[in-house]
Amino acid sequence: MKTSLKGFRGFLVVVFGAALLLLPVPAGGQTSVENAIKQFGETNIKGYMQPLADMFGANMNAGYYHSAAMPQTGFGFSFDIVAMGAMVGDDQKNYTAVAPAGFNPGTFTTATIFGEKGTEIKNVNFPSSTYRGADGVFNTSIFPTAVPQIRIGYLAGTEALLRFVVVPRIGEDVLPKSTLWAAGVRHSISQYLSGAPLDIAAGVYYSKFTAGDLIDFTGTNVSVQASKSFSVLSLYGGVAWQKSTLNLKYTTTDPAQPGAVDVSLDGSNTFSATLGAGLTLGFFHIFADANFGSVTHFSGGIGFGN
Amino acid sequence: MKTKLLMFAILVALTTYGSSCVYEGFLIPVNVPIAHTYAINPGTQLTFGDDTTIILKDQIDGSWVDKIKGGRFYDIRVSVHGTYNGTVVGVGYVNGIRLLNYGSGPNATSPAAWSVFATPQSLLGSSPYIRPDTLGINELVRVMNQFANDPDTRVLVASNGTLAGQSPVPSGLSLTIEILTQADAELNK
Repeated sequence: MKTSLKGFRGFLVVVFGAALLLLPVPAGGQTSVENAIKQFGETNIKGYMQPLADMFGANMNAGYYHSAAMPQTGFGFSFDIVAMGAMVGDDQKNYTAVAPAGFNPGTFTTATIFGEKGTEIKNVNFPSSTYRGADGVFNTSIFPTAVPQIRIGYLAGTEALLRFVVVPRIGEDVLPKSTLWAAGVRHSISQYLSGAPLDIAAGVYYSKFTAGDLIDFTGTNVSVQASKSFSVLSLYGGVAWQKSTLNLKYTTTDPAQPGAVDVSLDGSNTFSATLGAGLTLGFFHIFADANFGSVTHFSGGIGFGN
Repeated sequence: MKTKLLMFAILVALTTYGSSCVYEGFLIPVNVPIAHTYAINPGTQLTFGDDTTIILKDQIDGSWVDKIKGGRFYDIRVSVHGTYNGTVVGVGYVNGIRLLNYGSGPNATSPAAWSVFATPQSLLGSSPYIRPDTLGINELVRVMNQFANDPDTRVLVASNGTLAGQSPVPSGLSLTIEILTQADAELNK
């Protein structure tokens, strides 16, 4: 299959890392992706979407910091654009789907949202009866996301962070209203440790993303951060505990598993370690880091501020 | 000015990457139910029959209609509603062609207890109480393939049958034949 996404929609893929949201929509109706999700029963939507929960969860919990140095007092402000990319493994491109009850075979391997072509199977007992899984949507080995954020400080060595984006429904061919926000706070620990060789901070962050009527994501991140500056260069890193959940709530059209579907898909990343480096040139910052956990992911970006 | 240019360049780079990572023309199988419930009138009349035309595009969301690229069927189910202390036997048709018999016996042409169908009897379940007909199955496959080229594809579904064992027939009885199909919608083309 070829890959493309046209016009402004492509940008929105990056901003939200959810190109599923960018499919045609009739005026006043749900997007095609919302309708697509409704085609899945509860069992198969879990397998199809779990890798997205893993990737999006990892990305949303990335890029919160690129230094642990914070003064005790004074005014600080920075506007950052942070891009994240989670590595998509081969094991996240297929899942074992359940065929309709009575089908032989009863299960089959087919594409996840990061896979390629969906698999079509024939019923061994009645070959005219065939069934097909959905194709993958994302053709990528790195799942990208990007968000803007602002950081404001400092009160007793404490800094606040805010991410917020609202994209209204656009035209007849774009996406439902989507909202992403995150908020967090971190506090300097090194201010209590005179002579500490590193700057140390601790932070806690919460994020939420909703798209249309069906998709809801939440993420929580608690981290211990450390950094060391060498003139314009700083090295930073940390460890984090994180939790992310992708919730899907809808009524399926699948006659094999009819009824309400309410699933929560937990992202696989729970602990991660970060290593990164940044450059500060006056009011301009550039930074990049790698994050290691169940999902390996990267973040980087630019910032403007002090 | 340079920082604005740099920021713009980064956004363009991100956009380009994001634009390239979604498959062009990926397929989502859409559930297309072809079902009809045949009401059975109360009274001494022991036969029933009905037909209806189902417009396939009306069975799916309007946003899919011009994107259908193929289709298939995977199951047929027969079920009844209501309590009847007797038997039923009948035939289901698609576009006037016999699709299946429902009843008992080797070809499902003998009366079967009504209560058997209180639990849906399905092709996938290898039910002994329904017997598909190759000609009707072929017609069903043809119709689903036609849907990819003709969004206005219609299907005439019909059934007639006979009750026995309890008369008069109580009110509230009905028989439903469901044909479970998928149509492939092509997105991001």
